[in-house]
Amino acid sequence: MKFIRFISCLSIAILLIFSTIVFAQQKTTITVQTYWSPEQPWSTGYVLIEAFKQYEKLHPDVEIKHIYVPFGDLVKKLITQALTGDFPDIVFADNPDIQYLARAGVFKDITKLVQEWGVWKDFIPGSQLAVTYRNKIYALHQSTNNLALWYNKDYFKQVGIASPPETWDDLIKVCQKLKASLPAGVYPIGFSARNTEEATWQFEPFLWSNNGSLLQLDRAEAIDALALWTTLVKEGYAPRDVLNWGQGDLTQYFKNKQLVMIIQGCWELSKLGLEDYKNKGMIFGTNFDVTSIPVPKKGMKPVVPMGGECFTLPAKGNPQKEKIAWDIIKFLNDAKNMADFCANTGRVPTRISATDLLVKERPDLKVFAQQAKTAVPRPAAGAGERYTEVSTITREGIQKALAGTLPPEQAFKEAAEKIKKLFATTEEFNKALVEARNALSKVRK
Amino acid sequence: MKGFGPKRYFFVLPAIIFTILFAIYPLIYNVVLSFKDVTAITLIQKNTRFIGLSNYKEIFMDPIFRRTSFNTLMFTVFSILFQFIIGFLIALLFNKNFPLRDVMISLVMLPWFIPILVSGTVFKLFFMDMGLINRLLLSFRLITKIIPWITDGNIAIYSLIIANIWLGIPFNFIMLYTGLKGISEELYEASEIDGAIGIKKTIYITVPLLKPVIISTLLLGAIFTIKVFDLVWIITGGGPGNASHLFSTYSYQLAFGNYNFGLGSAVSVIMILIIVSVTIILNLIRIED
Repeated sequence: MKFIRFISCLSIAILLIFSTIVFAQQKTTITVQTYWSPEQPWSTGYVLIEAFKQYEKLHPDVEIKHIYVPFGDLVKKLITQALTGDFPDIVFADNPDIQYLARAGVFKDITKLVQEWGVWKDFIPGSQLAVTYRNKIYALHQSTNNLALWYNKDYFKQVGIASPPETWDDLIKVCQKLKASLPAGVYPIGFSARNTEEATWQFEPFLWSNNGSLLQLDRAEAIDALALWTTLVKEGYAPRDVLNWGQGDLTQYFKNKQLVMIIQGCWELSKLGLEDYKNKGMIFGTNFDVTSIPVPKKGMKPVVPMGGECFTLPAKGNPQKEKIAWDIIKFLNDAKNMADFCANTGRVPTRISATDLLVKERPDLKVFAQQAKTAVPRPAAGAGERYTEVSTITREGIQKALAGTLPPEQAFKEAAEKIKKLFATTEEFNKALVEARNALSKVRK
Repeated sequence: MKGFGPKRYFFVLPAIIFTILFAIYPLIYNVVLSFKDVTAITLIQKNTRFIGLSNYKEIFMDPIFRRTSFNTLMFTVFSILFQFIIGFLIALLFNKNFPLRDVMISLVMLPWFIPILVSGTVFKLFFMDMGLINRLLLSFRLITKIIPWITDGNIAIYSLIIANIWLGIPFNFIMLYTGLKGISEELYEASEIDGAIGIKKTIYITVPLLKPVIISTLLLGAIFTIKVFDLVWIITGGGPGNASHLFSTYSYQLAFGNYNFGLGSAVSVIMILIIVSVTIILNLIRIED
């Protein structure tokens, strides 16, 4: 009997010693959920994982686990997680979804943490707007991206066009010239007007540069912008297929030299992207280049919508892990790390101090970096948490005009009425209208 | 059965639990959602409330929904009609003996082996304004102006129907072909003695004997067709100008595009009601026999 007692005491002691050793060595695991797949080397997800590895090197007691969720499922997943309260330690969302999800109660109010960190003023105004909901900060905008005009220099030279178009009139003239001398099957310009957010996102630079607003589509500024797009399609400068093209399709046709100009984003200028262009015989700077999207009249400034994703803490997190999670978010948003991340993935920093670092390393991203300073977050300029509905209605109008179902004025008049009906009262609508105007003027300053 | 007593119910328990959990509960939940004001916000904040028939009223007032209903009707009727006719003709052809028949059968089945993501993308490339079909027609001088297959709001739905017919032929073919195999050769021989020749054999022997198979094919075809989603989503995304939505895609857009789960559920409940009533009608016809 004594022997058995001795053995059991001994085994308990051994177990205790071992478990202390194991616990002492056990790392804290922090989970991060994004829609960036890390599979392909030098893809955005891959670069993110590299940043995590760097953090782990500096903090050997922390292990970061990445959870991949497909793009279309992320918001659904966050909503489900909010219902069950079972969140990863760091959550992530595209910037236009932040306000909606913040209102739904998915994110933690991190205003105090951000203030303590003390770099809030270094973030560009658009990024500040994107992550703020009712004067509270809910996330940090880790990188941004936006759109520009890409053009095939070889075709320009061939036709005798010295410089890319700067105004809408220029654009039409350049298209005319190209169309007259291009072989069949090659179109002067392509953009994306597919029945997804892409259509609204690609249209916004034209709308906003013309001082238009998503909430007043029946105004001349908005109708003129749509009329320009309609002209491009009607005259055959852009194929009607833009109605079914996503941004990925544009890249394909641009590489195949079937499109001379495209409206495209900076994410294509990642290390991986540039390599792929090279393989297709297109070298950046030699065969093709980027410039700002044409503005209505000379002297006007291009205003583009703001892209890019945000990292933050979930509403209900593990309090012990929260501290480390916030430290990782700060690490990702550090100026140097942000610039590195952007240089590798073809994105633009959201912090002014990081922008200079990036432009030094990647002068080819200058156009995008400059535009980012005045870029507009979509919800802030389009009814906040109602943005997705506003966007759906807007692109219905765009598609109807481009397909020739309705003339531009009527298509947007119909859309404007529908958007007004989203609001219960006129006061509510007017409030959103003022907010949108304020947002646009805030970033324009 | 005698002697088992109440114990016998124990054996069907797993099946009942499975059905309740995975079929009946989601269905009821869906119906409940359609009577509530459910968006992502109200869902998470747990203040969804019953709003009676408001979702249905809103849906029936919505011009896109009316267009969607018309589309779904056209899509289902034309798809099934042509899939069935073509599938039937091919089945009749393969019912005859000829060399390389088995190889040809696997070729006919081909659309079924290809993931819809692939065939949908290929159809999109075919139907584009600068796509293959237009280029072929132009080069043969069959048309002088491009046909906007999927870029015109009034035409897009019919192009989708064409794509769906192609996808549905193998199913109709294989159902009817196996049915034909079950008809005894002697019946045809006997009818020939009675003077039935050519098409008469098909009308008086094949079709009546095949009736149960025909109804099953139409029934399953109707269910498959009404709920088609991926094909439309890949080719047009419901565009241009929301003119080519089906119930399934529109319901998805409302629920997961605009996060209005109440409205999305209302559309899907209408879709389910239609599927159920089609099933009941076709089953009634079958029972009458």
